[in-house]
Amino acid sequence: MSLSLLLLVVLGAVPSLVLLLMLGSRDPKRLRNLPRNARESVTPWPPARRRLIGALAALPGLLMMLNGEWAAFLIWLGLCLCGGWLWVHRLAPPAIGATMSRD
Amino acid sequence: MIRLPQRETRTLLAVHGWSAVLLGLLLYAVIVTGVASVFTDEIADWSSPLPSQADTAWPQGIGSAIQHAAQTVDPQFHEDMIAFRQAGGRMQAFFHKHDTDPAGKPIERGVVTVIDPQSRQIIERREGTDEEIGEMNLPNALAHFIVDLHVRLHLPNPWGLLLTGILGLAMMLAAVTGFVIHRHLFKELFTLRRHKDRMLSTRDAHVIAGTWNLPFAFILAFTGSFFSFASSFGIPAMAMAAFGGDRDKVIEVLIGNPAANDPTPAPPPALDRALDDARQRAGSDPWYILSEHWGRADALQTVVMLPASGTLRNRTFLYDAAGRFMQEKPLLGSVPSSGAAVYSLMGPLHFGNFAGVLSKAAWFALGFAGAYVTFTGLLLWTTRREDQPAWRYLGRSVTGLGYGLPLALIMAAYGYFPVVRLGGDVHVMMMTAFLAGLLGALLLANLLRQLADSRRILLSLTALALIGLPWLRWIGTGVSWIDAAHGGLNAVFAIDLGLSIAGLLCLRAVRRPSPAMKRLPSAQASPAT
Repeated sequence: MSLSLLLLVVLGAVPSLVLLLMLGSRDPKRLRNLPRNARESVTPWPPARRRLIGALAALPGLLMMLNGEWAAFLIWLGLCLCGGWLWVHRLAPPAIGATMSRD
Repeated sequence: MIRLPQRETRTLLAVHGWSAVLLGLLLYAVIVTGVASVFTDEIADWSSPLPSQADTAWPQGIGSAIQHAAQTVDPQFHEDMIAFRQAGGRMQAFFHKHDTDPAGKPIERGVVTVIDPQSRQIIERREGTDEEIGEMNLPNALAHFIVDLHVRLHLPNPWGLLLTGILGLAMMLAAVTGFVIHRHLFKELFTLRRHKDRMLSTRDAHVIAGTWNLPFAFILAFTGSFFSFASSFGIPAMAMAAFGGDRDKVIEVLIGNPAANDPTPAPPPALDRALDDARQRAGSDPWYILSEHWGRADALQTVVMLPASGTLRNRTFLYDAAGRFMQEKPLLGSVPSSGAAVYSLMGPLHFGNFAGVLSKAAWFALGFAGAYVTFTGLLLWTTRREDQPAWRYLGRSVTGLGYGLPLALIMAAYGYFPVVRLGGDVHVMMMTAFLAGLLGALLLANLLRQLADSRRILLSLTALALIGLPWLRWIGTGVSWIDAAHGGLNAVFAIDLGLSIAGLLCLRAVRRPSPAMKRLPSAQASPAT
């Protein structure tokens, strides 16, 4: 893999992952389900802002596609999907006090 | 609608559910082995390194080394030659003729010469049919074992391919229907209620992994089904429908025009000239070279190049006997077409091997997510039916196979390295070790009272096996880390380190109880109940 491809992937993936983290930290459903003490400090973003941040997160991939950088696009997509999955786990509250009732 | 008594309805529902879970377990096996198969080249390099790693298996002048090797081979096998990279960077050239077995099945028979790309010397020689030569391939045996398990679950052709093809279709169907009926789950893309009910937490973890992994689940399932069905069903069906059963004609149409027929003797093909030209045109290394009609005036050389940096597709060039460029050929047919363009994307999209370790790492992580989704889905399904004894046994088997399969794959490596050192039948040893690991895990999960204990023991054994494997590799291959540093054997370092870290992560997971596991019936009931 060449350095230029690596650079392209990093330049695309880092801002997208940061934006995904911001999106997740202000996600209304996630915030609604937080424990009460954690809920007060953060407010959810309105839908328009969430859509804007989501579109900005997707922008690097779109630019890669438009430029025909398909290898970079696929790696960027893979990193964003894995990173998003990881963020959800990082943003989740700890399992203290979890109950054992039937689903 | 057929009206059935309540008892029969319950039985049929149980059979329906059981068959779905068994299919799910097979799919889990295909996904887990697929995750390992992403790094098949690296596993081969790690399990059977040469003393030092060449920068490329295709150094300048490798064509001359292949020509020299040809002189050591009986001319009856000079009909065709195919050369490609093998474990540790070895160059394998297979000189062969086309033949049929006693049952009339087409086979290739000939001699393999394995060349060290640095010294250009022949270091190994095998003779027989293509199948026999494959079985004698000790350096690649471990990597092939894992790939064969992924591709056809070690079942004979075409049944294994058909089964994995059906599993791929089932996975694709699950991805598409899941997208359509569970669109509301996208609103829960960031919601993991770990602090609430433990079953809810497990369900969230399952949904999140499935949702984030959805695009790749579809891609991998589609391309995987394509590969399984293409050779086992697609080509024979196409031959039957459009070419009156003439399979050779189908292959001729799909692959392109056959080589001209001029048996006049000629010097060996100019491999180096063709390889040099192909390198310049593609800006990458060759994947393989096929030389038809070796030593004849009508010799045709097909050089298939790996994707250049930033691209996805291989490129194929044709050369004549003198190594003169003739044309660039699409992967399918002899003229460019959209079908050929789509077909050429199947490989890179399925294998994730178009940009070296970075793309492979992304595919590995996404494959891991797919395995996680399948396993947690099966656990949730069986846990919710915990009150029914039949489901209780299946739940135990899900745990046994879920945690036992990775352990069994590592056990296969424990069967491989002693053979490298001491000799023996590598295939028997690997399969025995694999089955011992798998059956042992299933037995353990069905014998222990608490599934949480099964999980803990299986994860602990996996951790120990992972941490011990680099040391066994060291003993088996005789290559220490100092030797690896001197020889530039990056794969040895990377995989030894990866295995050790994975072992430590397993030990860490042992200390964290699985939320779903706490709900499983065996936590309260004995196996006899």
